[in-house]
Amino acid sequence: MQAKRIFLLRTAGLMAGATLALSALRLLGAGTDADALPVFESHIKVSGRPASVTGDKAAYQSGTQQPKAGAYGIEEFRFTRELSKDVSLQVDGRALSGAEDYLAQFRLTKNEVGTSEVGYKRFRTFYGGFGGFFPTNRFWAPLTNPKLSTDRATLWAKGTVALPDRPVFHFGYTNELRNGRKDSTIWGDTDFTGIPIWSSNSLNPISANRKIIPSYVELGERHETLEAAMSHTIGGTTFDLRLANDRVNNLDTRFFNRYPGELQPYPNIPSTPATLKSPSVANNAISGFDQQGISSNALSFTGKVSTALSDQMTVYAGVGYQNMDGDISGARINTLSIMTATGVKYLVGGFVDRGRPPYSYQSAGGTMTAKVFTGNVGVDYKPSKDLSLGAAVKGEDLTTNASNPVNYLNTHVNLATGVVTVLSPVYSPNYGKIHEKSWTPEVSARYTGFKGITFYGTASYRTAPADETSTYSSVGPGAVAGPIVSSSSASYANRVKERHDNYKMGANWRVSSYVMLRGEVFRKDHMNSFYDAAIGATGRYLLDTQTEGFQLTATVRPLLTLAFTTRYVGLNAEMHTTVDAAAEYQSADSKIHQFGETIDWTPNSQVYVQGNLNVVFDTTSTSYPRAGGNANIVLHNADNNYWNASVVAGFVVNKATDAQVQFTCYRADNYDASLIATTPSGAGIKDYTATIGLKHKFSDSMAGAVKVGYFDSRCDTTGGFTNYKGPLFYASVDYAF
Amino acid sequence: MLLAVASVWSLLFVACETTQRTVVAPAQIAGATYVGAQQCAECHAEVAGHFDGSTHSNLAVNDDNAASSCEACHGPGSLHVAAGGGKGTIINPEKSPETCFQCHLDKRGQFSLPNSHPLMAGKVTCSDCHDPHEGNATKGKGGATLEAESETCTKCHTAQKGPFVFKHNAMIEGCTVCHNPHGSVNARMLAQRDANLCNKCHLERPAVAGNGTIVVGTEDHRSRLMNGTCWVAGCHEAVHGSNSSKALRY
Repeated sequence: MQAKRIFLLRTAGLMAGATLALSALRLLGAGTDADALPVFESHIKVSGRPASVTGDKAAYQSGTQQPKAGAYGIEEFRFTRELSKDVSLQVDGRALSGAEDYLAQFRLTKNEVGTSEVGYKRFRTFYGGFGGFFPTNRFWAPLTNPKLSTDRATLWAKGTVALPDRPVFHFGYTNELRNGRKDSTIWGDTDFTGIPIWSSNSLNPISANRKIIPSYVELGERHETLEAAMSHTIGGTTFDLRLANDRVNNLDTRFFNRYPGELQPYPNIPSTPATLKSPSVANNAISGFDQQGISSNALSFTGKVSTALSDQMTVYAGVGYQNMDGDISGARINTLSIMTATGVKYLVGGFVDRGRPPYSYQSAGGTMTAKVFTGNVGVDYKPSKDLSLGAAVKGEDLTTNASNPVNYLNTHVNLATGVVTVLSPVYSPNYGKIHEKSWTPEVSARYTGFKGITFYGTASYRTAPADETSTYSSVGPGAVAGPIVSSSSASYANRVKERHDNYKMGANWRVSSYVMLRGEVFRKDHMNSFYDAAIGATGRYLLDTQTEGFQLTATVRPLLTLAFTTRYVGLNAEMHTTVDAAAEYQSADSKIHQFGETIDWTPNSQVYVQGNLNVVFDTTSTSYPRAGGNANIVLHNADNNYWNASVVAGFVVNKATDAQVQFTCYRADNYDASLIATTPSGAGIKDYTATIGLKHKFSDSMAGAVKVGYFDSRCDTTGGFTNYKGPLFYASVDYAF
Repeated sequence: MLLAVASVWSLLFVACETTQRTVVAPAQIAGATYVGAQQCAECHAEVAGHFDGSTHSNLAVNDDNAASSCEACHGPGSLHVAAGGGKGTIINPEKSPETCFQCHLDKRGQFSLPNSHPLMAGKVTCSDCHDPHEGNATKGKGGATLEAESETCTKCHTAQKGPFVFKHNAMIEGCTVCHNPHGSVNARMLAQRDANLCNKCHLERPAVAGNGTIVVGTEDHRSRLMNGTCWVAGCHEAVHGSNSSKALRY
């Protein structure tokens, strides 16, 4: 036994020694790449990424941004060709079905003349469609139509004419589309929370109502830009001019459900004697949509000039002007279900005697305009080769006008008779105007006089007084059996003052070829105040924000083959409000500590290992625990702590094959299920992924790759209803031509 | 155990003993060496000409180390120079965020969160929002540049640009007051997922300290916050601004 142990130890020692020797030899030979895997110039790469997901497929799609049915097609295509001595063509493409990820781009370049390019690209973003989870009765209400994804597509054509010693001209047109359906965090109400509901309100200290029903938005957005620009340098002076026309055409519609599956009986359950009610009779269901549209046209001009007065001094200036006008449209249509003596009625904009207004409206046609004048002027001065100073000031004059009169729909229902009466809509004007003039001086400095060290700093001060005027009238309950009424139109005039101070100082120190240190401190002191000119001191709101932080980065290379990069970002923010005649009050305290570490280890030229770790402590405190009493069971601090890590290792397997092993994990433990007196909050997630892949050269013109792995995601925030797991596959073939 | 480790180690290395190839972690160029920024400027004069005033120019230090300028991000450029350009000879951060992550380690962590812009999926790039070569890397961030910070976001998110009839004045401070564009543990990349998000600016002094109220807009919102967050259905849905409700109800 003893002899066997000695033999094994000796064998291990010999093998380890041989390994170290080989590693050392390989290090000496680093950089010899006779067997390097090819990087193809003109090639086509076809790939497939099948999926086999167990669990919530919508969560898989939103969490990984991969389609549940997999993605297949051309992952990468490039064709380059020299059409003549000085003309070249480059074509790039991609077509991944399932992921709906497409690219077609043609670029023609003629040396010393310019380039022209046309292209189209599109990609899909997936959403989960989640609402809130309530742990008391494990309530979970997924959307019935969970196909949630939006496609962003861009069509462009652009050209540049750059003749030698002539102005450079640029022309371009882009048409960006965003269409599809995405989820929204504007959740609806439910009483199906497992919390008892008594017919007597006094017996319901904890409301059963929670707004956790999911909703979604249908997007229809277009943004077109037509631009022409010119840049020219004469001597030491460079001119840049840009003229652009932006057109936006959006119509977004959010669909929501409130109290689905609920309908109050008629007559209602009396409060005496107090009896337990079923959640299905606690409220009346409302379903509807909120549609917002804008159609705007903006013309903008930008001009910049920069002149080098000497080797030490450069002055520059710029002006910008934008004139935008557009139309506003909107409709909010709620359909209320309500039980009457003669059965259930379904009403748009419905209300009962002395009941709350319906908040259903249609826009009578709104408009908006914006005019922005911007200008800046600055100087860069370099009194010595090691010292750079900069000073600049920016001024802006902004005026916006927007109006959107609306008509509130007004349908009365008599519960005792079931008679529905459509009344005249209630008109409400809405108008707002802002006129702001801001000034932002900024100074900066950089000093590199010490070998291996750079000091730098910037400071800016932005002050922006503004006048805000608006006209508004609210709607509310009217007389018995009468229409809802609009309050008399009121005008508001706010005097606004903004002040933003921003400071930043930093240094970089290359201690040696083994150690690099970077550090930066920053401070922001922002104040926003609003005074209602008509009310005076009792009509004020003042917000004061102080943010301080610093970030440190250290890169240490103790060995040629080993590097540690460490980064810490710390941030502390305090916010204070002063409202009306009350004294100042600290409204928020935020603290963030982010630690990051990357370790790169290359034991020899044919192996690398990289590890990454991020640990974040992030908390924001507002009312808790100072509010006291029952308020402390309604809202706790917002904790956003998490850590995530990854390890990737790659190595040469043989002359034609490389391998890569990867592991990632993410964990957040902030979920607080004990908050049953409100919507439980905080992210609680555990994600793991492990993969192993091979890349193989079949010939000088063909390579392939395969990857297999496994993923597992568990979510406490959604009660486990959005967990998913499964194997992961990927295969590709890359062919050069 | 020692035997097992040594065996695996030996197999791993002996198997590739005769192969002459270097493998490197992402965002590195195998076999390349540093050439210095002046070499880069010969072809990329337009970029190099603006770089001195950029945020990232502060990173360069005064020594003979060529890796402290262009090649700090783009990797050693000898192969790129020798080939006169070309694919695979230089690191292009537009193709991979790994270059930026080398220093911005915290951003790797944030973009790896479930709620983030799809950078890791390759559908957006760092340079879609940041210009590393000219001016402030974060546009309009309190500086004197012509551009406004919000333009970085609203060039894609046009529905949130406005102007609105009744704007949410938080928009003055910028989108990042409420959203972390690099990624968050919360849906919609929110900085906070509950009423704390709004309370930061809107929590007011209660009539009596510790009296169990959460005063917002001079009213106790405790019972309303029991039902959900501030921006849920029926409450303040129009968080970016409203065209019909001064209280941003809808």
